[in-house]
Amino acid sequence: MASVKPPPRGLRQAMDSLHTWLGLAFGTLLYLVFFMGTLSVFDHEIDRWMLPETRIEAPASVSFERHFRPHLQRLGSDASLWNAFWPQPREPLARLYWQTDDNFLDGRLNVDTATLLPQPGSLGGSGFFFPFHYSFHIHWLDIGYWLLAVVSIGMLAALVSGVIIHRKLWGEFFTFRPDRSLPRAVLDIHNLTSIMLLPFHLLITFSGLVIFLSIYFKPAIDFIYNAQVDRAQDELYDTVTRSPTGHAVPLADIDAMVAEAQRRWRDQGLTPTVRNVVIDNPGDAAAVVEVRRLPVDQISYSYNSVFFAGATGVVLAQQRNTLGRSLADFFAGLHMLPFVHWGIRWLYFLMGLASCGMIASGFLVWLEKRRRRLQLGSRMYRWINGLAAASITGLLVATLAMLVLNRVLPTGLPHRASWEVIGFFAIWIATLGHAGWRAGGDALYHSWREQLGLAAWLALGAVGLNGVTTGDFVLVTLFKGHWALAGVDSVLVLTAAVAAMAYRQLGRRDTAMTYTVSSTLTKTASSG
Amino acid sequence: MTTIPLLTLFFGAWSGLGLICLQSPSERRRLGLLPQTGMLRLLVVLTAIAQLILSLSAAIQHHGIGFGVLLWGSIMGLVGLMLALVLPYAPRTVMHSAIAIAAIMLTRVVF
Repeated sequence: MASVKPPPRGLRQAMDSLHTWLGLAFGTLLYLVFFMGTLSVFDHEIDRWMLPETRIEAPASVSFERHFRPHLQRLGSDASLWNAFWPQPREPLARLYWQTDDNFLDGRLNVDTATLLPQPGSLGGSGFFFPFHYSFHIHWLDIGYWLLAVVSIGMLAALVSGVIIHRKLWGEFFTFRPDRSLPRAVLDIHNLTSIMLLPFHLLITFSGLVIFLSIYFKPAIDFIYNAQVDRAQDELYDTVTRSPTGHAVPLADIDAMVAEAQRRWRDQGLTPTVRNVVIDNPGDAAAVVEVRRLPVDQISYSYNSVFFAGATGVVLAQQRNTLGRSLADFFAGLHMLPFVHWGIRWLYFLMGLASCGMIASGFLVWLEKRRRRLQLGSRMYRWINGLAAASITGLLVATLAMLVLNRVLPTGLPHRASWEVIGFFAIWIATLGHAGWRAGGDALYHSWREQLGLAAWLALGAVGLNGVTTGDFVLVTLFKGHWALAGVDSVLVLTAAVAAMAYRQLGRRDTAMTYTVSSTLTKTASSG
Repeated sequence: MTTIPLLTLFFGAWSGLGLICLQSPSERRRLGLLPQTGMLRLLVVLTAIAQLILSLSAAIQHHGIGFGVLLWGSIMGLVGLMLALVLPYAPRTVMHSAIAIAAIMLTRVVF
């Protein structure tokens, strides 16, 4: 008897498998990237929450000569580079960096009191959540950035394959059927969050890759430019670099250079907001001062830098972007939001949350399908269920626990910032252990439910502890118009409410499901 | 962000997307709507497009071309998501609000 060949797999079926396995392989890391990215939309506001010393107003005027130079001359007299970041409304403390040999040192400055603040006891949102979003805090050999590239390409492939497998893209464009079975409703949510925000998903993933092009193309740049890597930088960024002469010449008046840069920006119709001033080889006859603009009024993250000779204050050049650089700056701006537009910032936050929902619902679709096929006892099912719970609810628990730790660890504790980070990872690993322990059996969402309950308590605890330890209770900050603090606290209260609701819903569902699965298993056993 | 352009932006997106949603065969079935004649269908689609153009114009006029398009795109995605999530719970409200907003906005533009 001739063997019958199975029918060839169509494009849709092939893409379906690809979509499923990409989701399983990269879902955990993708969720981490999107979750941390969503928090990073308000990283400076989280800084205000986690670092009470930053709860000040931005100063009305800033002078390099008065505020920065005395500290940089004292701390970085032999440095090869100075970098002074102006305080901004979202980030009211100024920051100083100086480089000696291979060491990069930094300090924070309260411009109003002209005092340098001690090292912060926390990395805050901009020091922990934001770098976690793009480097996973793995800096060795740039592995974190390369991992991000792999995950991003996986995301792009998952998006394209997801569109191809969708049979009725238009017919089901607005389809959400909560009255149907749970797997159907979850799949609807997955489809809706994917399709409605498809431009956002594509844009944010692609622009994320563009931002780190110089890292991803480093081998190619090294190959083409060989030893002249500086030339590649000059061509790409249109910067001015000069080799040190060894002749000591004091720096001219930097404030005058800043004023000249601002005049030029104003003449070009740009808002003259200074971002930072970079001084290459300070104190040398060949010193170069670069004044960079913060692009508060445009999408493109372009500095429009003006370069000055440090010794004389003469303008050397104004940055002119190449077409490639302009495109890269545009995508960087779309991703990083350097501009001042609170409406778009909040929308990005909401779209980031929807992206997290898309990834989480993707996991649930997979789990629900296996549950229906009664593969509850399989090792694979248990692993994926545990991993998904730890990635989604566990990450939320670890993040909220970090905020609680931030408020309860003593202020003078040595290496306080490191203890917060250790606490974050320890709790995250603990949630993985808990999820693995509670992931099997017929009660699909035990681990999810218990972690959501914990998250609700932690979110409320963080809000309460912030009020008790700093006096900035939610209602007080709302009435005083401290929007950064009020915003973070309000989001925490909302998180607690949503987590508590989900906890309750899953409780009902687990009870119903345990009955259904048990009765099905009994029927199967009796009929077999 | 001033109130009127923001409202035009939001309600324009809601109404435009809502009217488009009424063209979806599965939604029509679910809402129990009667089959449309070709002319009525064309009219609804044109009205929806007009709503979306009004919404985009409001965004660009008050936020510039770059911010306007970005704002509009983001609002469209989130309003679409919101509309789809609300629809099963309040189909009549969604349908009637989309039609009412379209009528009010077009009346203001025409007169």
